[in-house]
Amino acid sequence: MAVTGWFVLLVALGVVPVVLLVDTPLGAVGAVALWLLVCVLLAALDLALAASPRAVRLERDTPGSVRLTESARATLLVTNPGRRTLRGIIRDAWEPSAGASPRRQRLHVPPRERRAVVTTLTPWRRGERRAAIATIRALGPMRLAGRQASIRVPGAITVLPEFASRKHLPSRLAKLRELDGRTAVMVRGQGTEFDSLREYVRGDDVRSIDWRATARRSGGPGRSGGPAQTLMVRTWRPERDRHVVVIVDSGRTSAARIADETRIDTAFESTLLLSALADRAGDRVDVAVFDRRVRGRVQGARGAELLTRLVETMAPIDPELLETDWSAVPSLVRSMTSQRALVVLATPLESPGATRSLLAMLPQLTAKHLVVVASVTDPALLEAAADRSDRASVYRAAAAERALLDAERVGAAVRRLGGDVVAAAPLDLPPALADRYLAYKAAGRL
Amino acid sequence: MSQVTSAPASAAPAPPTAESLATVVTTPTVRRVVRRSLYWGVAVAGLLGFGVLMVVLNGSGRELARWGADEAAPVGSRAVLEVLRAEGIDVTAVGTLADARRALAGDDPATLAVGDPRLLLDAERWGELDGLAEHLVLLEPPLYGLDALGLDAVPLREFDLRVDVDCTLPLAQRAGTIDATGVGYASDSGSVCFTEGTGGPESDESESENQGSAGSALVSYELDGESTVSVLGAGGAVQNDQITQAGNAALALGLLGEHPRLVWYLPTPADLTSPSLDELTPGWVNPVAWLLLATGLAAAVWRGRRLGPVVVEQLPVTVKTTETMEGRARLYARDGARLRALDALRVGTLRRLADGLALGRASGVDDIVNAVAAITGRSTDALRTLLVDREPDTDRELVALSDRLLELEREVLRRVALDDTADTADAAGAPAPSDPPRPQPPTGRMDP
Repeated sequence: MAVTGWFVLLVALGVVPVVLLVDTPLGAVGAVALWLLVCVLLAALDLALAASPRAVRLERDTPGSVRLTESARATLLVTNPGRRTLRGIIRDAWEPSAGASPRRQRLHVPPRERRAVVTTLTPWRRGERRAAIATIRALGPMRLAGRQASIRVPGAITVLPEFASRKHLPSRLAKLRELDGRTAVMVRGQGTEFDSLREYVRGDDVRSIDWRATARRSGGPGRSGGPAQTLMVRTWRPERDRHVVVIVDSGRTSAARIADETRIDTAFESTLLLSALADRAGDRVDVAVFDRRVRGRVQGARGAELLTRLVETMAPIDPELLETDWSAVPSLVRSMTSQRALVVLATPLESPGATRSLLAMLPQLTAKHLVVVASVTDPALLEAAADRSDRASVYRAAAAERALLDAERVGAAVRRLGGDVVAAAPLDLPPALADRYLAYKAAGRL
Repeated sequence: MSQVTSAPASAAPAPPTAESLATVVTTPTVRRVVRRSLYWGVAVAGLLGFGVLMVVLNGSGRELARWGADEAAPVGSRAVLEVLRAEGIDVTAVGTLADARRALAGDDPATLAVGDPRLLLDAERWGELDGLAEHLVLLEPPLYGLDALGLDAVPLREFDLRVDVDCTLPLAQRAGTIDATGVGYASDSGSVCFTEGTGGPESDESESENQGSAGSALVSYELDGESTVSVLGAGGAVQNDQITQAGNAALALGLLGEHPRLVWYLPTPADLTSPSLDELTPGWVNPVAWLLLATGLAAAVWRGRRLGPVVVEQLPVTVKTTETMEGRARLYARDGARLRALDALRVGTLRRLADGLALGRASGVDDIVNAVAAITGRSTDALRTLLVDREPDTDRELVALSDRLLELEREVLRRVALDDTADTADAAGAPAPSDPPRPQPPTGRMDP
């Protein structure tokens, strides 16, 4: 049950009759009581004439998923089975981070009809966002009072990772294409394969001219002869069907928030960009999210399915406040690949103490695989290190320098153990990791 | 797919099967709300009722009215009035002067008893009492009241003692001895009775010389033959608790029962002659105020009713990355670890200098100092002091050194960027280029 502002206004309007009636035999008390009685009776009548919100049938029509920062339309179908017109307000309540808007809407459903109530969801957090409850306040014909009921209508929408770094994908794909069909011998190494023969164009490395093919071509039939020779060059392409394994750390240290993004989100972004790129390059990508157990795993997917499965797997994963069990990672990698692979560990490298188990495990991986640690650095540390304005900030700068030094030392330790490190600020890490992958690709180190 | 649970019986304790696909009405029906809150409603109502009952039974919470006509408490006067009624006297208790006038209208001789323990009547009103009744009995009147009535009795002070009759008034004679509690009065023109001291050894002292004493318990005036005024200083004599003591009852009945009618007038706030707030404001102000109160309540209900419950959500923890850094900074600052802080800054500077000069990570302090000296032209000793040896004694010194470190960094970077001369080439070329600052993949230069 609820009253409206009109009811309040009605009560307030009683000033007129009360002033008029106060000198009649009713007296002051009588006049006020009479007016209040009139108000209550009218409200009760209105209440009795209102449609029942309990009898309403509700159905949801929600899209399955939405990318973070994008909007989706969640529809709630309201059926009025009764004989009275349902008019009033409806609130389709979602979890706050689903970003539902508008909060409340007018509702007018004639008898035995159905209306759609559309709520725009603009989530600001990854994961599964649920609809909590739908509340209907059905007002009477005079709009003085209404009946209210909250109805739980289950519904959920999966909020996928934003993949904001996809804007870096075209430029990286262009670089990848440049690797294809490249003639320079510098590129040729153990990681490149013979691709095709084509005519020489200016700028090609003369060392890539295939003289035998040139001779065959110029000596062939149908040629008029003459001095103009057509030179043929060999082209190369990067090797394909390599294996990329990404292990995303979902442990305690990934919960930290840097520049309005948790580290695990940055790791997801990097993973998505790298996966998209490697998949186009013809490599196999397997991803596992791990802390003390495997929180999510995508294996054997290719093409569009790979990205779809990746975002769906990543969507509900939040960091656990656990220390990541790095000693289990080598066996996890073994279970995912048997051949040599590029193993990307997306985890922060902070202090020697926190990464001890990672460093202890690393030789097992580097013995067989090419290991890259993708680490998010905090731009706030660099800022703090540069700020020397007063005494307190000098001490802060000292502490920041110390933290940077720690990270540096951990990175050096990783390199000493045969791994490689990509460290960058949250927005720069995904393209940095992609560039490193392309560099390996070009160098044939995969 | 959606099933509606409209009947209250079927909606009864809905188990949290929210995860199922069925829609569930979570708002309880009115019947359920009533049933659920019945216990507490009954309990609260019962407690309230009990409290009201206790108040009614004990009469606490009500101010005891002295000489109240219906007051059964010790200070009331119900006893004597009941006795008078039983004796056939028409007793009327009134609260205002106007009511008193109305009650006194008529031909039968009447007694008007006036007691004003709360001093509500002003002098003017006291004056109006004059001549209203054949017998006017004033219970402990104040001085200004007596003045207004033209009586010369003067209240002296409170007394509480047993006095014997010392005058010839018949009703006083009948009473004999009274237990007088109240105020003593002195008067020259009226006849005084029950003067303090008459019960004691000095009983024959004249009342005129008795100004130092507490005065008399009863002063009576005969005015123009037919109207009498009695000033009863011993107001306690008509109270329930003292009426039975000594000759109090005889005195009271004699004073009050003289005429067939008795008007018992205890002024109430309605007697106040100054206009009250009620009279000054128009009649509609109070009801409009109540109506506004009701409007406020309605508005509170209107705004207070939520459109459904608050939705709660479990949010992941937020961990700040800089907490360790801040904590360490505070530790440095609190302990004054200046050297340690400065060393951290120096290490950072050395690292950046080595990067800027392309010296490589493995280069030692001496290499860096020499290279910096070569590029900036500063002396090696001064650089060494700044970069290694100097120990700051005060925070001021620490801040100054930190500024000089930054300045050095900026200078070196500027020189490296500006003149790509032989100096830098030498400096960069001297140590073996073990690692570029950020280890680029070997083919990095092939990228466009």
